Amino acid sequence: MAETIEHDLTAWLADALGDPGVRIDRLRRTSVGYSRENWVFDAVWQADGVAHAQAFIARRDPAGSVLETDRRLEFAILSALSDTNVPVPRVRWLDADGARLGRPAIVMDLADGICDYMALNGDRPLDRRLAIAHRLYDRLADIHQLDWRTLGLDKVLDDPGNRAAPAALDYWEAELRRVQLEPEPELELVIAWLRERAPENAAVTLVHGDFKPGNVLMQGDEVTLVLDWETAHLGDPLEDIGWVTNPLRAGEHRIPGAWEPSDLIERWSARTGLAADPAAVRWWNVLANFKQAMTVLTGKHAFADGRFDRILHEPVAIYRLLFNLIEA
Amino acid sequence: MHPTVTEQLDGLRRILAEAVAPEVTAPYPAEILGSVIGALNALQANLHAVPAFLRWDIETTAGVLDAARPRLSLELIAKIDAAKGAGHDPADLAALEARQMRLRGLLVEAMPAILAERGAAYGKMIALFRERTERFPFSMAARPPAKKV
Repeated sequence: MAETIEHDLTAWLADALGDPGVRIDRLRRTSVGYSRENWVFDAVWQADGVAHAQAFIARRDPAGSVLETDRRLEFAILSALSDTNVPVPRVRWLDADGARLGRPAIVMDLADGICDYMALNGDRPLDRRLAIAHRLYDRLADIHQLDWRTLGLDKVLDDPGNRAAPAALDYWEAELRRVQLEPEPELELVIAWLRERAPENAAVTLVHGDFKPGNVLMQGDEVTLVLDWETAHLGDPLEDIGWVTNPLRAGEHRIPGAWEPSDLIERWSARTGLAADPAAVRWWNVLANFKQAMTVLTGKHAFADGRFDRILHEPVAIYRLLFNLIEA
Repeated sequence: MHPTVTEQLDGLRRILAEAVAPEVTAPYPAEILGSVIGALNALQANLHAVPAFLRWDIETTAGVLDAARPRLSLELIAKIDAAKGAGHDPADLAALEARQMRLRGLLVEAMPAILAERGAAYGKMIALFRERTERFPFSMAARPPAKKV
């Protein structure tokens, strides 16, 4: 597969950069990322008689995944955010229909740094981890403060108005119907709970959709880029708050005793001027876990189709947490 | 019957771990090979528990549907009776899987009535769901990679 990708990427970059002699080196598929294929490589080319070299990353749709998203939207969002105070990767080229690489893909500059899922609970002293938490979740607040109309995002993303919660539930229920291999009574119970309690949102903002320490690039203790925008959309900012305060991911988002959900929400509210109704946050906590369960079911579906390389089983630990959250 | 199913799974895992894995150096294939070896481990360790789990799940789900019976339509009751009455070989794994899926589907159909009443059937259903998470023979541990560049 690598040989084919290298050939196709070289042809694509030759056209995009206007240099038929462009050369690709050190192409390799990184082992991480459950939803997209990530291919990193170095390119060397000539432009106006000057030699250039740049490391890139190509994110291509896999044959099967735990998440099915649209590269066109990801490209449009990253392009729109390029000149804002939310630091994002520089996107270069879009292959929307797979004409270049066989499946839809985008190419971005590869930046230095690491993604550390456990940045808040690693080896650093507490004061440094707390400072990282502040920087990290301030970026989330910055996302929620973007003027998405001025950025033109209303031209590519649907505005749910004050029905962000039912719209999100409609979307994920439709995903369940699309991928389920068997009856899922546990999730039917959760859908009924969510349907009865869907809150109205007070604001519509850009929602990242998968904000976490592992989806930002860090250099030292600094957050240099916010990554993985494939699930970004317009909606209730509390969707992101429900995601980052989800008990399932507490090990990534909390510093016990020092950075609890109440600390996060207080700082986020002070920075955004937005309120976080506890009942609404809980609703989004429940939806967050429904989405987590859906990634597993999507992966099971793709595995059964022979399009995904990992075996996933019924997400019973997520179900257990869901029952606790809905007090069933 | 040697090699038994357990012995075959253990042998496949050993071959992959000792003969194949040392030669696989590219990051993505190495990670996938590791997950395959882990899946074979899990299958070997838990395969024997699957039939008992399915029988328990079938019986307990049928118990929930029995408790909900007074609130269900005649049509749904007939489907439940047909599913419960169908003869089956308790040693036939495929038949157990099909029967379990059928009953869980009927539980979904019965759920609006169960939720509307919130009575004994609801209590039994929640107890089933919770105990099921403890008895399920395989675990799906969401384990993200530690770091990426």
